[in-house]
Amino acid sequence: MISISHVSKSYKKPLVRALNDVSFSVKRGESVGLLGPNGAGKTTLIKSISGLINFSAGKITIDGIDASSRRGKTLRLLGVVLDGSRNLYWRLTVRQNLVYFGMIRGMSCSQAKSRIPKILDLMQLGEFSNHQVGLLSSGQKQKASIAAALVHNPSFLILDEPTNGLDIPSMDNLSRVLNTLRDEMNIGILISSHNLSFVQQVSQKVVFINKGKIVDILGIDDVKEFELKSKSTEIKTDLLTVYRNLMKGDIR
Amino acid sequence: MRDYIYALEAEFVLDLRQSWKYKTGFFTDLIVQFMIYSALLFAGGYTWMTRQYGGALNESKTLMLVGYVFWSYAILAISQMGNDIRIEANRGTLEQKSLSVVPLSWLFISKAFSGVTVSTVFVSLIIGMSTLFFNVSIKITTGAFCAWAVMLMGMYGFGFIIAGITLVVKKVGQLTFLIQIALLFLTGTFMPLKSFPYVFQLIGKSLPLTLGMEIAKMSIGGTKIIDSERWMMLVFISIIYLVVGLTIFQILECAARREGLLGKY
Repeated sequence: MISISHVSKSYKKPLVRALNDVSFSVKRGESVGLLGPNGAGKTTLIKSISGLINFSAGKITIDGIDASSRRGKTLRLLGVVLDGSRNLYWRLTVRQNLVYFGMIRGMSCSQAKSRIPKILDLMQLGEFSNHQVGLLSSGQKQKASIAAALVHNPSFLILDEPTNGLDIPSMDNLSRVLNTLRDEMNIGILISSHNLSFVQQVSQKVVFINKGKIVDILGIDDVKEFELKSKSTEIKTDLLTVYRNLMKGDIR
Repeated sequence: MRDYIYALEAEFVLDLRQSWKYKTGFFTDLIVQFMIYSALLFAGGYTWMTRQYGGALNESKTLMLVGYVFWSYAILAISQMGNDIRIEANRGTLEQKSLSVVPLSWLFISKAFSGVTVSTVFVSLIIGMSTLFFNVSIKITTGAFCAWAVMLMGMYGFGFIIAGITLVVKKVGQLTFLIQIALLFLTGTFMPLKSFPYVFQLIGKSLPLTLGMEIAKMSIGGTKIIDSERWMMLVFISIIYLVVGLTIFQILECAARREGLLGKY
């Protein structure tokens, strides 16, 4: 389980409180959406869990292991896809990238190579394994990034804004893949996004975050119910509307 | 331990692959570097070396080539990691690299191995061309090889300082360039260190490159016994540079993680 407990983060330049007493958890086989507008603190939180940013206060554990003091151990349990598609070496092939990322995350070359066909099959990328990443479409690049994050067999997958630059069919495809990972491989998934409909497709629980604070944590049924209500009153169901209504207490 | 070996192998192979992909740049650099070397050779000014390091006067060109080779490796050691960080941050792959189960510094040490391999091919071609066009070559001695290896370790320590600064400040290209040029003059590569003011001499003498090059030139120049004091000084200074470099890199990496600068460019 990823356990985030009272995590706060302040930057000095400029002086910003990016996270303020954030607490929630992600279990194995569970998918959690992290929903918030730009600047809400989603990326800071994801990078704090991944150890890319040192947080100021609180505690993050992954399967009981402290993420601050034992980063090497916890990174073995995490697969992380950061914002956009810049997670791979574009001049190398998909296979070469997968071998590389498997090996820097604790796998031998042969272990990585033996796992690649399964991952590529799962991501429907088999026919592109020897293609240069730079020549793939945005959707394929995103899937290749996820494949690279999965090659070392992590227990949790963290995705930061995975729908950026994707068209609707690619998004549908991605949501199918993520649901398969959760249901068939028992992988815990944390997805940050400002795209409500995508988060609804892939999450069982949604954490609403704004200005570094958790606004609310809702089950997906509550979110869907709210969205229906919003549609019936012809309110645009974008994220800000959700927030405004949440803050007013309409949904509770 | 296994994680470190796997990471080293991965980084080594990745870097060689990337170098091959950018082979056009390699050959362009080769031509440019050979032209610089040729210009320095034609400009003369290397005869002082035989007086200082021994050997016949016609060996002075060889000693200059030794200086050039050492300087080439030294500038690689200083600039490689900083350049790699800048390129990876620009590409967006630095953060993914930072998600490795081994420390980031180890990945850059691994990269250094492939950098030295590629540079050895590069330097071999320069020496080959030098032999072909100017009949100037190098006979590698055990002493020169050992001095090169220890010098390189120390200069990579210097490289770690530049790499750490790159993590935080990002654009340090001009600083690296200035250091490269300063090293050309402050280390006795082409001019005797004695011709500089005392302060510069002091700085020059505290650099592993100066000491390593001095020992190598003496060894190649025919000095049979090189005093142990020089060797000890080279080893001591190189270790200091490496330890200080790694420590500064780790402090600056921590600062970059604190301010969320790893992925920024």
